[in-house]
Amino acid sequence: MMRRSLVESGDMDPMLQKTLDAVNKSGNSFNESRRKRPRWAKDIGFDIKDARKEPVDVLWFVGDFASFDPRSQKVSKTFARLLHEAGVDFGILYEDETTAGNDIRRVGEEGLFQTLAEGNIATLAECDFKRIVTTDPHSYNTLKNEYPAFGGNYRVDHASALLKELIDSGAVTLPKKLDYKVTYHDPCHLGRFNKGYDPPRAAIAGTGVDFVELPRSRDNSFCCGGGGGRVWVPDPPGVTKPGENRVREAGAIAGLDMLVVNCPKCMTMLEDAVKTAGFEGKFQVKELIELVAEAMDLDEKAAAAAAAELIQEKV
Amino acid sequence: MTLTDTHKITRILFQDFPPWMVAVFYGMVIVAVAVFLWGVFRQLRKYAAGQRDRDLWATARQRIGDTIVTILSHRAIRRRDQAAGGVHAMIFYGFVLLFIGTATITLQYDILGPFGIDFWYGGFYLTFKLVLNLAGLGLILGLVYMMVRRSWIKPPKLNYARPDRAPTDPDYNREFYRIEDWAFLWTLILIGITGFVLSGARLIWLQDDPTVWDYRWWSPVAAVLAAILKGLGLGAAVAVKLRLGLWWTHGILALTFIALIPYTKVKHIFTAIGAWLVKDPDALRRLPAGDLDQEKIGYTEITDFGRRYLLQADACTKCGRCHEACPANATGYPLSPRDMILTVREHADRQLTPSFVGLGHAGPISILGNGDVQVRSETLWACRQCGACTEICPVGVEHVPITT
Repeated sequence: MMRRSLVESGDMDPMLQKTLDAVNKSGNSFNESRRKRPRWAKDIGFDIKDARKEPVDVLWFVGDFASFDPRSQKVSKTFARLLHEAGVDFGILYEDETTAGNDIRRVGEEGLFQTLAEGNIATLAECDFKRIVTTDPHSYNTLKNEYPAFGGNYRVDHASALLKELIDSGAVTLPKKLDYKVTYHDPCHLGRFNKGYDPPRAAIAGTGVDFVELPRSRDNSFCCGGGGGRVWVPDPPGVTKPGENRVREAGAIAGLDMLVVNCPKCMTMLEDAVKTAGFEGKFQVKELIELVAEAMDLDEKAAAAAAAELIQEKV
Repeated sequence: MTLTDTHKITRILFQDFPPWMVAVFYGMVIVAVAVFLWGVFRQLRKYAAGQRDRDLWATARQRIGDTIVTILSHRAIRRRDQAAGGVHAMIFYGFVLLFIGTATITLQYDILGPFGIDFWYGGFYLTFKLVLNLAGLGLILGLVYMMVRRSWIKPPKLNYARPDRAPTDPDYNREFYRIEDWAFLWTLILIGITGFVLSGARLIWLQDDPTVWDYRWWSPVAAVLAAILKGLGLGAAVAVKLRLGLWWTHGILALTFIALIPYTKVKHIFTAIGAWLVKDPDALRRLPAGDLDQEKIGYTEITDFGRRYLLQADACTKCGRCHEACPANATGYPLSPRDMILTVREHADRQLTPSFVGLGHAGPISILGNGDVQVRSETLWACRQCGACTEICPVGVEHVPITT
């Protein structure tokens, strides 16, 4: 509880202060207007249910990065199409979602965190859903473990757990066997914090790829460097970033095609580190969702569906 | 030997000691225990200066069970360092058995003996000897490995150089901890070695007594030492003097060791157990809720800390697992979870435990700052809340909530 004091006295990086101000003002760390939050969901070929207006099985809590970061928006679209294809009854909170506040609390801005938590809990109280799913392990952690203290008790699952469930139940089939050599980076908030080590590995195994563990994996996973608010604060020049340390570890695996991540913040940090550490073109950083979608042949299915729709329209 | 009264197969305590010597020894025991208790009181008073923790009783049963299993199995110490963990188990079990042995003798000699109840003789006594000889051997071999580890293997995690200080800073590598580590190892190993040589010398001294000599192989280590000493020409006349000298050396070392437990890293015997008992199983995933109606919610003074965090800071043995796991430390940021916890400990000791010499201090100073025994803001901001430190800590320190 020492950082809480630093926050109270304003002893922090100016970038961090700016981010906290932005969250305070607009409910997201990107300082975007609330209206823009669901914009990523526009051109995906179908409308995502509005969980504020109709009951859903799965309430997808999207989170800041998955809503606003261009790279993660792509993942969000893929996840939406994946859920749609699998026949999952799901919806989002549209403009009324604000950041879940995990990292705000971990920065030490307890007051702002409590405001955010109470706000989201009030929004969720108006909705009818069976469980919450999120692709962001940070949101997952706070919704699942920290919201109960403020009256928000929900079943919360990470997207990777839902993926495994859908594969196991046959709702998602993986007809295309992928011929990649991949490794997997455990996100701290999913792995160490919540012991979610196995579902993502099971999902990877289902795609048929050649899987190699990183030397530091599971409980010994090495942070991408983006937690605790550091995703908002640039690392000073001349210092090795934790992400660079991590991608070097992955780069040491001979013939690696992909470093699979399972968190929007890990995606941002590690994709950046691949560039700065000189691994661009050597291996790619991909989301687990993207890997599974590829094995599902989701693009083909979507194209076929679009074509069918077009034909129907003509008829 | 025929039909010796099995009551004679035992060890006569203080054999041939004049009464004043026994009195001096008991006097020293009382002093040692008093120094020990004063030290324990000082530490408890220090923890009590912290903030009362959340209710721990609700989950007490589960936590007590978890603590017992963790300690007996050594599962937490073995993680990511099987060798050190396994050897620690040898030292731990050796020490525990020797402690039980000493307690058994006290029970016989000082508690039940005066009532005419005897049990420490014959078959029980011989088994007791065998078990304690093996325990002592395990303890010594374990300590030898730890010495080799510190002087030759030198794992990087045992290097105390701090990433949060410059090499020119006076507290850069905390030299006093290194001295303490070695003093701990040497004291304990000397207690073990003097115990065995003393035991061997006793065998030679009493070689004409069949109730001793004929049963010497029940204490195999002492018997081997006796054979060597005899081979070197040690006779009963010299052995009696050697035994007396070693008896006192062993006794004084052991009493000094006990007296100093609460003042040195040896206290981890108690603090590590205590830290496991109060450990929050959700420390990583759920940060404590701050009461926004309070004047402040963060820590600035050491008395703002929760009591259990002060206890945890005292449980740290500088094993370096957190230091090794921390991504900030690994990439050159000025943060090592180990060094932050030690700073909290040193700060608490300076502020909250008056020394024998001068009582009190010059008023509270902030735990946050760039001075000696203060945590720098750049250190705290280097943390990425990945939880690697708290997850691997074998004594249950909760670095994550302490930092945040």
